[in-house]
Amino acid sequence: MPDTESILRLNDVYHTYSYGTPWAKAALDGVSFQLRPEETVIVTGSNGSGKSTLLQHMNGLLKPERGQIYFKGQDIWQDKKNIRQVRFQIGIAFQFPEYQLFHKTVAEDIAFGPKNMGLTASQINERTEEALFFVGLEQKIKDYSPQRLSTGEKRRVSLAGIIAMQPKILLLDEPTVGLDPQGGQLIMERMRAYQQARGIALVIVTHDLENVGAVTDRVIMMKEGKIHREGQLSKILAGAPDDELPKPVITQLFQELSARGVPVNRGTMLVNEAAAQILDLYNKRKEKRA
Amino acid sequence: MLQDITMGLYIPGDSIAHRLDPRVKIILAVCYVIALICASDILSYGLAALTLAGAVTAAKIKPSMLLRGMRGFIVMIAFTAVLCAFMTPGASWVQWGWLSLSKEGIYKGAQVLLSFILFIAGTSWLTFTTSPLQLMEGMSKLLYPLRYIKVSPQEVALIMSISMRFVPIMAEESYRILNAQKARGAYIDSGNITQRVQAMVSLLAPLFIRAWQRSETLSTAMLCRCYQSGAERTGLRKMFMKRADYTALALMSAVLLIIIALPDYY
Repeated sequence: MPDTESILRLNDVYHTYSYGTPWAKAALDGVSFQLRPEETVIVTGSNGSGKSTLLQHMNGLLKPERGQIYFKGQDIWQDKKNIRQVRFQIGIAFQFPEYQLFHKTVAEDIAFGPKNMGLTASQINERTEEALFFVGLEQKIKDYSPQRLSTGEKRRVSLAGIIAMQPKILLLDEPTVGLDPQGGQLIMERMRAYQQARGIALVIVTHDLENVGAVTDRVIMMKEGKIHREGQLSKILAGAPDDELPKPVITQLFQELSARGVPVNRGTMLVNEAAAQILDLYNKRKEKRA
Repeated sequence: MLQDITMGLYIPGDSIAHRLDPRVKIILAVCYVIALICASDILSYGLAALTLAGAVTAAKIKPSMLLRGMRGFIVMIAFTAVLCAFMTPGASWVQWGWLSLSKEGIYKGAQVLLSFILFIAGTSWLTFTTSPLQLMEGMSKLLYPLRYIKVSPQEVALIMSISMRFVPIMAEESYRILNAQKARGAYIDSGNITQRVQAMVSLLAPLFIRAWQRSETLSTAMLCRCYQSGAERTGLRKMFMKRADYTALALMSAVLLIIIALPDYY
């Protein structure tokens, strides 16, 4: 298959935890998908559906039992020595990334990745400042200890540590979990702005569909280690039953309206979309009366 | 890496060995270890190995699982056995320069090798067939006499059970932090010694902070549920001795007595 379109391609990937023991559990069961450069993909699904495992395969932290992963058309496991270089180009932030902070100052922690890449001090400094800017933190916190920051700030510092490596793909595992709504929204906005400024690909694992409506191009829904549904978010929202995924409030409202016979789109999730439809209905009714 | 550690793991099952009273199983393991220490001839080791084989069969554990548990100790066992073989004084049998190997040395080395393997297999049998919770309950009951020297057996059991409970949690936590630092290019399994030490700091510092936070949460949670140290506690599951328990104890005592008595007949 020609591979010019996609930056990352997973080909029939299988993964089993505790392979060969009584606890063996299939986490990925034949997953294939392609990621285009500059694309944003949301991965969702219930706990234990294989989302996080999938993410760890994407940057070579886990090695598939079967199947291949191609980054820019190259099998990432072809040469094991190159895997570090692959990890520098595909940044990953785990759940609660603030737990990985360990340096005495914010600047040193952000510099950990770039330093491991072997960059010069001035390059590192430049990248640190830039990364802080992208996550919306002031330059003066550079000399603070990460431990005295708030949870939201810590989260943004740890994301800055990954951005500072200037990856071509950014993988985020539940970036908003445990934050207040404003904090979560801020992180999503910042990551989206960074993705557009740099033209990178973004993969976000999340349950929080409320915040990603405006961000996403494509959604992948995982179930029992397989890709269960895939496509545009509005289409998936319109098609999936209520118990399958947590729908945004606006979607719930519009599906309720649709169930009562009002002709609206069941996949609506954004405020402006919703407003446009309501206005449309209102005008139509007005015309009828007139 | 961390998933490969099988020692100390419990393998759920419903075999005769799994259903034995945990107190009995601890006593069996202790007797077995004493028997190994006392063993000094081929017959005793044969008997100990036979006992182990019986116990493993009764537990329906695959022998390959026991071998997996031993993997991490191979170097240590081999080193000790070789050292023992060369350091034991005796009539020289083979001589390479200043290194001399005696028949007594070979015999001693083989003995050490056997003891180690049987010891690890036997103790793994205990943890394979007994859940950590059962193990702690059994232990606290067996530690009951400690009360007479003003040590609360329940406190000891609680400390042990909390540490046991935290092992998998900390393992998972360290795995996650390890991966996060690896993703930032930390030299976890490559690089020179300085780089590796730095990589260890990047793992241990966050791990320590997390352990501290977790212990604080835990102590608050315990206080909220009115935990009082030294108070008399009851258990949900009472332990009863069954016929299988008595049989196992009788068999083990017989083995132990034979092994202790054996050398006297030579």
